[in-house]
Amino acid sequence: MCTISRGKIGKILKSTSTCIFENLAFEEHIFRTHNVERSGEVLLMWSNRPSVVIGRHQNPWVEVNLPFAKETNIEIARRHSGGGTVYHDQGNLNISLLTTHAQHCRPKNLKFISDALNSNFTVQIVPNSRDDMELQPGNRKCSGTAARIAKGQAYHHLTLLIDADLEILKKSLKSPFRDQIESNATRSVRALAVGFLREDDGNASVEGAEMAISEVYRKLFEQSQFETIDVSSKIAANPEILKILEELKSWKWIYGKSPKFQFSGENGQEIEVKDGLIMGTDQRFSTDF
Amino acid sequence: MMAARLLGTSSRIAKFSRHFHTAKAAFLPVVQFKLSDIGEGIAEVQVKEWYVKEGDTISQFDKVCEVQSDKAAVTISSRYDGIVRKLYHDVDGMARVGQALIDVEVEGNVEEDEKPKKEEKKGAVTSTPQASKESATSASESSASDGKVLATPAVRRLAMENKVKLSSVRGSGKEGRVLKEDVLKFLGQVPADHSSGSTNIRTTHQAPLPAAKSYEALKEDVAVPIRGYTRAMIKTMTEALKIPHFGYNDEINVDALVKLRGELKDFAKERHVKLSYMPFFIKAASLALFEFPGLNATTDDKLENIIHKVSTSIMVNTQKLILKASHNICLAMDTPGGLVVPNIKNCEQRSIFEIAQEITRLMEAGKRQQIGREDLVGGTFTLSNIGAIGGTYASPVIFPPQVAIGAIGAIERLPRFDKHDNVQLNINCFLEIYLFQVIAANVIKVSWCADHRVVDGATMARFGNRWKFYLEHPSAMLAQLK
Repeated sequence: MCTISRGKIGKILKSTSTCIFENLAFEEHIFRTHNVERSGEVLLMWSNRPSVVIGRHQNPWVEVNLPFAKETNIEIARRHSGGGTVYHDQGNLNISLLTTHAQHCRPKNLKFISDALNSNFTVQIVPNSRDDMELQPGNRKCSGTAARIAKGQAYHHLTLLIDADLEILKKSLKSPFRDQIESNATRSVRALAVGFLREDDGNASVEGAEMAISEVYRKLFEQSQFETIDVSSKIAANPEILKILEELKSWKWIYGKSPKFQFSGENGQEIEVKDGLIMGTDQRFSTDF
Repeated sequence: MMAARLLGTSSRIAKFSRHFHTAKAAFLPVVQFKLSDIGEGIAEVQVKEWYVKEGDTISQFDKVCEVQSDKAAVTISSRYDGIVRKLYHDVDGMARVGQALIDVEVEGNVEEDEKPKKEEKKGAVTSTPQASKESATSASESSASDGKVLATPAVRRLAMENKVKLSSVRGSGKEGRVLKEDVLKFLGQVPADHSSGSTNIRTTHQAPLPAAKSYEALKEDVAVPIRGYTRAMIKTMTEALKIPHFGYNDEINVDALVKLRGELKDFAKERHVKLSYMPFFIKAASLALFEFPGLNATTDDKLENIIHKVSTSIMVNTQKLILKASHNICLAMDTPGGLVVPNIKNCEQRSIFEIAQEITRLMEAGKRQQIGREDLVGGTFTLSNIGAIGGTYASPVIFPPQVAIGAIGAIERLPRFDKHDNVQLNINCFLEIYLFQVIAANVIKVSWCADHRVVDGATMARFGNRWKFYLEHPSAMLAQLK
């Protein structure tokens, strides 16, 4: 399965943008246009302002505390890859690995990343069978993984909590409506415990983690390149990426892409919602947001 | 026209009933697009969103649906052009790898339209063996579209991707069916030389099928994740067919060569050199290239300039041809991972033994799939020893950015007139009958192809003649020994 040796060229890209939409758009653009077979694999890293990111087939009303997010200006985004919901802020490092479909191997990636972190910081990070990474002791989840595969290419991306405000994290991921919604959307699996690197190693930093991972990644290839990308300017100059960005920001994508669901109101109302739009209801309702 | 349409429709109906009686009707209009292997040992995925519905027209590479497995969101793209006829799952349904996802009515077959009368007359059941026999013969006769040739969709796709006309490939399957191996052979895949045992091609290109998969997945449409060398081959061949090829074929009497190799056998063994015929072919080519440097050249990426690296530059209109000083001769090599074409650097400076040793080294590396980048770049001329597997004449494809290639067939023992025209005179009364001596000769066929934008037939022919001369008169090679 993961025995084929990696290619010759690896490229490391560091984004300077802290906007979740810009970074997701850039990642998707690279996925669609960078030909791994021809030009080698890519490692993309970035950090965002506080945001909550739901998976491709999830329901934001179920996964996100929308009122809280609105109040505290936490961005809400839906990504293209599957999996569950995560909270990002500047203490989180997002890592995205672009390979061919055949080379896509999440356990292999998690192994080299956890090895890199374990040797650079006084932490013990262990990947688990769900492709999460946990700080031991205590099974404290510090990283979640998701993947996207299409047209012979794939990316595996993950979050890595180096420093986090666990209170905000927990609050933003607990939706007040989660028990009132019935749907087939992917449900996030709540981790029993959450942790971040700085808990175990006070010297841990996002830059440090970036460097540790870059160094190990470089060694996997014959040739490697490191580039810092001003993603905001790049997007402004490229109408294709702009299109992807617009889509990611649109209501239709963030809310409308939710698989159809049934909402049971407090007063026993049953509202059917499809494509984010109310299909049938027998009651009047108030629009809070 | 109206009549044709009506006939077309009715033939389709006839075809459908035939479907139930023919085990594998390869020219049915409706194909089952199966969910190909997602990898990671995943057997089942959930369909999350459809991008098409029944009745939609779909093109190859269009998005079909989104599926999700664990944490991976996978976009499935269509393999076919056609019309979606059936969706096998609802949203949130579970789709199994290897099983049908959608039915696509692929763009109409020529055969359908051309044989309606026969179809109508025959009726459903009893006609089957006869009808397929007819189609087999018409397949071999037709020079028309691929619709007449028996081949599975997977084989058609392989042929299409490599710009191979199925009608020009000889099918070795049942009833003239063109198999995948036939297409691959057509593309000129070969191991390195005559004498070494070639790895069994048949097994190298199959996907590693997990044991407990459903039986269906084995028959057609085996999804082989295209990796490494095969992927590169697809790229290269697509580029290559942009080059206008012309061929020049010849026959070479290798009696002298066979004798020579026999003589050197023990000496080579002493030197730990595995001596096949390939080193001779390569050395002869290198010697001939000294006289025809235009064949040891490359064109640049834009295919506008042909690059000369040495001091001489020939201006051809506004294009420049780069003549390479080194003869880095490539050999087409069949490895477990597919066709690889490494080259032996500076053949002009190497002796035949040294070339033989390089061949051995590359073959060993190839078997372990460890041919280094150094060995793969910088080739200037290619020889393919397809004869090690079999065949006489071939149509090799130039390996860009080179400008020429040669494919060498198998050694055959054939009757030929004695070169010296030794004559046995037999006089019978007033009739004088001259009997020309017929001898058994060892003969090989060579098929040269060159880039007709920068190489003309005369040059190729003269080069071919020179190469032939060296092989038929090895002493000429000896005379140039430094």
